[in-house]
Amino acid sequence: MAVYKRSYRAYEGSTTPERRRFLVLSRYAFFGLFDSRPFTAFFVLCFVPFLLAFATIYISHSPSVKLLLGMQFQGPNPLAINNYFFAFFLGAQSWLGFLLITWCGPQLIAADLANSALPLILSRPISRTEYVIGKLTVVATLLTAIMLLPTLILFFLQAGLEGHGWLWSNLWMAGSIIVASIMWIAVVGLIALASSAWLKWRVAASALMLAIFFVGPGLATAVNLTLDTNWGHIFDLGYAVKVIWMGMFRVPFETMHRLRIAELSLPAAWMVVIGFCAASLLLLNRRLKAREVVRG
Amino acid sequence: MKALSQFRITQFRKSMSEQPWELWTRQIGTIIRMDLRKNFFSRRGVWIYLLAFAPVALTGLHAAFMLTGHAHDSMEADTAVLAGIFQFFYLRLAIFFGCLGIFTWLFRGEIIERSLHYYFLAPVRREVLLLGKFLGGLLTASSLFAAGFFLTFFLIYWPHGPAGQFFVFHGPGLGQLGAYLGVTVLACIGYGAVFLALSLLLRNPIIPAVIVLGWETFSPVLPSLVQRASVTYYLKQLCPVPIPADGFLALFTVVSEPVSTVAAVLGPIVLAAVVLFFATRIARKLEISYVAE
Amino acid sequence: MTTPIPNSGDRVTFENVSKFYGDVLGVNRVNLSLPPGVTSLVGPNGSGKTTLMNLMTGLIRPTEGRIGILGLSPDEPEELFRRVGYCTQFDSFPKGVTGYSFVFNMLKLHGIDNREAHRLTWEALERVGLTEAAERKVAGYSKGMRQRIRLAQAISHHPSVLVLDEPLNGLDPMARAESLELFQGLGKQGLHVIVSSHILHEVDKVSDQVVLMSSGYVVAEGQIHSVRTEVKEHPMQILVRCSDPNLLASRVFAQDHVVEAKLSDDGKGVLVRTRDADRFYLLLNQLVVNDNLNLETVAPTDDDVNSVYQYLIGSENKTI
Repeated sequence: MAVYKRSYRAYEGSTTPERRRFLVLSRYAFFGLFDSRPFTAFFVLCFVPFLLAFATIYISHSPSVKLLLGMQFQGPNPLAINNYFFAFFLGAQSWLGFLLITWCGPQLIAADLANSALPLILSRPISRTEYVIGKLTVVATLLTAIMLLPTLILFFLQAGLEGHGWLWSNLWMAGSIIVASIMWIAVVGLIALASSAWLKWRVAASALMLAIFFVGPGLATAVNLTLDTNWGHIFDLGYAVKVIWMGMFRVPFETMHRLRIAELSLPAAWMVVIGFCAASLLLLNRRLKAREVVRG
Repeated sequence: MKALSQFRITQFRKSMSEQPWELWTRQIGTIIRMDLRKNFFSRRGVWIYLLAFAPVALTGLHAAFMLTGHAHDSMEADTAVLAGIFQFFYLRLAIFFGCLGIFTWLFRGEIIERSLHYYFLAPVRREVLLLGKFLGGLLTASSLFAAGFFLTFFLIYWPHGPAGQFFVFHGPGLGQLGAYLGVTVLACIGYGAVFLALSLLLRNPIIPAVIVLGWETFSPVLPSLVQRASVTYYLKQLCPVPIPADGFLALFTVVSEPVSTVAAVLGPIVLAAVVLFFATRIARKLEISYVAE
Repeated sequence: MTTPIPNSGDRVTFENVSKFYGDVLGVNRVNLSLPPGVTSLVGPNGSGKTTLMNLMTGLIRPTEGRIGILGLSPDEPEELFRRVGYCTQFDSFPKGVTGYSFVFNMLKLHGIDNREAHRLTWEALERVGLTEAAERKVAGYSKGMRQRIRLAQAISHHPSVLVLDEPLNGLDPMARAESLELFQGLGKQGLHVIVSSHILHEVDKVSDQVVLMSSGYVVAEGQIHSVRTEVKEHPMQILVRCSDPNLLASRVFAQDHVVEAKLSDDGKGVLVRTRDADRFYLLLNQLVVNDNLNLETVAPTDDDVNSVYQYLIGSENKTI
């Protein structure tokens, strides 16, 4: 072919920098999620406890409001803002976040697999790791917005209102909030993605997520009852997370015992959490391939 | 007036006898067979086997410990253990999630695999199709969970030797087994109908399923009259060994007036019949639209 | 919807049928009455062919209007699907089925006993040439084989109306020819064979009538010849070979309905483009009688589906 006839030119324009390329997947996933009005409504609803907690902290520091509401307490103050308060708030937000991810997480990968889009995506200059990170970013952003940021805002609000060095003497709690949130993001995110990749159908993947957190306690009870042991709790991921969080928020052992969450040791609880995350990663590694296997 | 109602009854009887019952029975039989093959022999259904037979592995271990003298041999304690396994594991969780998986897949699965149109293009009434699919799901769920529980029961009492045999065959054992198996089937009927209807109504039935799970879990703390709208309300009363409420829910549990056994048996059946009636209306209007799930 | 359509006992009828998918138009105000024989639905992608077929078989419901299949409504599946077989475009099957079990199970849903279902299954498999692959899983079939097994399932119960959505897709030339022969044979036996296809020249050969569709509308229907004649605004091409082409050319030029008259390259024929074929044929008769014109051949050169289709919708949809 004559040189002058060659009109084809390869693309030479600018591309998204390699480091930020996984965010393209996250961006598209976000557009898809917030297209749904019920999802957006539920996301907004997740901030209601934050507003209530905000009001509680404010009231606990405002003698005039307390007087106005006739809140005069004898003995221990039920509105005390301490480690129990933050542990409880984080726990409540974590369950709301879990429900939100149960709703949206499974479709992140299942849709790509069900529509044979994965080979198409992975044939672009994006690796499997970047693909997983891109999807996990969606979960992480949502849970950060629901759990981590509101709890930290409340923490600093309390610090600001309390004054007198409260921040420095309780700074460990900020660390606990951050680590506990990151742990929850990793656990829920990886399980959501793994179940999504394994089952390819978002409804089944959502059901599996629920089953892990709800059948686990049932199985744990069955094991504990049958074998007369406490080791059944290793099947109960929610319980293991609770044990770790209670440790992080320095809830005394006696209280944990009363709440029946001292039947699994802290190292064992960590092993359970790590085990679930590792199993999820293994599953993702097995399932996310740039090829399709069709079975009859 | 009496003559008119007599006439109507006669007309109704006549129209019923004119229906092609034999054809419908044959069609239902075919649908059940096709669904049983899919439900029992698909890789997708392995998790239901795991759910149904997990306690068998546990009680197997328990039996092994007992036979080697490493576990207690109190039959009373084991009867309580069995009651706990049934109520906490089977009834509240395994049957619930098992039915969620089996019954939502009956129609949704055909839509996902783009094969529902073959059923719709056959000379089968949608009502017959729905009933056939429901019965297929019911047979799968109840046989798996009943088999799982039966083996669990066997492994609980077998290591007790002659005392165990006496308890089963000459004591309350066999009656308790019958009651548990009956409750299993009733639970499958109740949950199955609800999940089948939800799967027809919504593309993603998981959100209402979460609401049903919440409803079933927290209904004991609701007023007595409201409790009657939950499946567990009836089934708990049919369980032969009562288990007191556990955890923080126990603090708020409202003790409701017990209903008679007949009412407790009929409750889930009536609930299922009503739900299935509405499901047939949805099925009649169902169109084929295989959009990405 | 359930009321049978009057006087439609042997026809497939659409009465003012519209289907909207939300705001998107599927088909609009379709009025059709299809007699037995092979009917081709022709139109570009998205013209509404599949929607029309799905409406016919009750897979979707019309937003408006009534449909009757041999006097039956699509809402009466028990009666309807004993008489209708539909080979859809969905290239999917129930999981794990073999060719044999797929056809057999669907026959069992008709309520047919095992022995008869077995016989009908083998008969259908034989007709589509899949007896050797019958025991293999459908998931392992080639595209053409999957197309044929769907066809076998659609014809297995000996329907009176056979609806085939793009049945030639994926078939090799040999299988295409065999399938077309099968459709034509079934049409001659008095069956309604309703076929949609993009392969215009192929359906042209076997069709008794055509329905031309564009953007959800029926733009023309009837026998190909009649459809062509009805298209008055588009000139029809007729090649006339005769003893005196010059005379013919001079006479036709004087007619207001003739757009063009062109002598053929060998000088022995005239290619006439006319807006009114009937008046042209009348003129031709007069020439034969009055001027002793000897006719060798008179042949419409664009009287096939493709030409009609191009005239009606071709300019908007050049993809076909």
